[in-house]
Amino acid sequence: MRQTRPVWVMPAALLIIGWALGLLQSAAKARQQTDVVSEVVSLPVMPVANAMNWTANCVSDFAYGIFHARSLRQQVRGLEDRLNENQQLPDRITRLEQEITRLRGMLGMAQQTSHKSVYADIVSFWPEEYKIELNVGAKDGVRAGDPVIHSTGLVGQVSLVSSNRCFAILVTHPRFSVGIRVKRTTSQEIGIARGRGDQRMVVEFLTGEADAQAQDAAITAGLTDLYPEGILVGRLIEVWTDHSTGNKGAYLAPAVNFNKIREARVLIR
Amino acid sequence: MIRTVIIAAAYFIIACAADIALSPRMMFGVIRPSFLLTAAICLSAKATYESAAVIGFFQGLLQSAAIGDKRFAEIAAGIAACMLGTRLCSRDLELTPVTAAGVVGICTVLARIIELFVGLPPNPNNIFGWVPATIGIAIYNGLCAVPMYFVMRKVPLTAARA
Repeated sequence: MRQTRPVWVMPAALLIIGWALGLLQSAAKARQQTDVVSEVVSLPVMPVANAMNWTANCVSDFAYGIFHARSLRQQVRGLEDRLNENQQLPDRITRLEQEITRLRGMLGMAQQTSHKSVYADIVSFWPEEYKIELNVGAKDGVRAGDPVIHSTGLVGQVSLVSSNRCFAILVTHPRFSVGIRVKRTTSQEIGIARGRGDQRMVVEFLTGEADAQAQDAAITAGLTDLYPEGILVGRLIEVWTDHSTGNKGAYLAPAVNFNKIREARVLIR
Repeated sequence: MIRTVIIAAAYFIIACAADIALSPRMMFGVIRPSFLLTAAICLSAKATYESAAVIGFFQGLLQSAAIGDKRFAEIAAGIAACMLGTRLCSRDLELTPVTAAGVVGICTVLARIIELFVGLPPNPNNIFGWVPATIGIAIYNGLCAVPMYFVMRKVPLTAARA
């Protein structure tokens, strides 16, 4: 006679296997890498996902092109004109960079770290995890900690890297923080902006007399080699004084609309 | 048997790829449909409890690989949701598009509760954001289950309940 297994045996066994696989993933995450199981599981999925992404982009661009053909044509003409005007800029920038390097050397200051950038498509967006997935990885020179930027501002920071893809936490993730500087003619206040797990960031200024106002732009301060100076992080939306510390603080609305962006740049060191 | 496994694997790969590539384009705020969970629950509606547990396990494994995090939480949530799907569909429930939507909605809520407690979200204090998001995702997944129900009827899976 055939004996039947109790119903709970299979789920219990699978949970134990899941727990062991979870430990494997956590260990890899501690090394800021994706684990081998994720790699294997993603092998058949990612080509299909990339194909779907490409198709969806094509359909969306085609539809946008049909309905905005006239304004797109005007934009192309304007961009062509600006491109012609800016033909000389790269030479000038190179000359100025060489000049800055020479002057910093004469003053005995540390040389600035130069960043190269890698263009990446955003493969997926997980809003509740404050995370995006990009289609570049270790083989493109990406490392954990590299900043991710968009033309509209700072997106986040690479947190996990595999050979051909990576995950980046957004600036709104509670684990994210960056040194910022208020960008106004009469103020250059420095503070630390942190994600808080919702749509806003919070800024802690270093003094109680910080000259910061709502609508001020906040850019990366470039206090460390990690983030170059001058990347737009967002705009202050509310400034207050913390009575326990006496320091000023503010809420910051990120400059990037994470729902809308499709591509980004990873700054590699 | 081999044919069933191959069809189920293809079904999972397409659902997971859609989850990665198409879900972010269909978002309302933070409400993002989970094609993978919906597909797994629809698949387990026809299955035995043991098959449902296996389906839930692979759903969780794929989901955690896609997110790059929370493997145990996703697997536990997947197993529980799929087994609940089997349970709900085993009680003389005639499977129609509407009942499929309801079953997927209920199972999604269970999966979200398990995810909340087993794999803490980045901001666990944001419970006031979590509740409406869960209701929204459950409704969205339920709506996605309707076309998936019609697809499932055409898929020749043979994992019929004993």
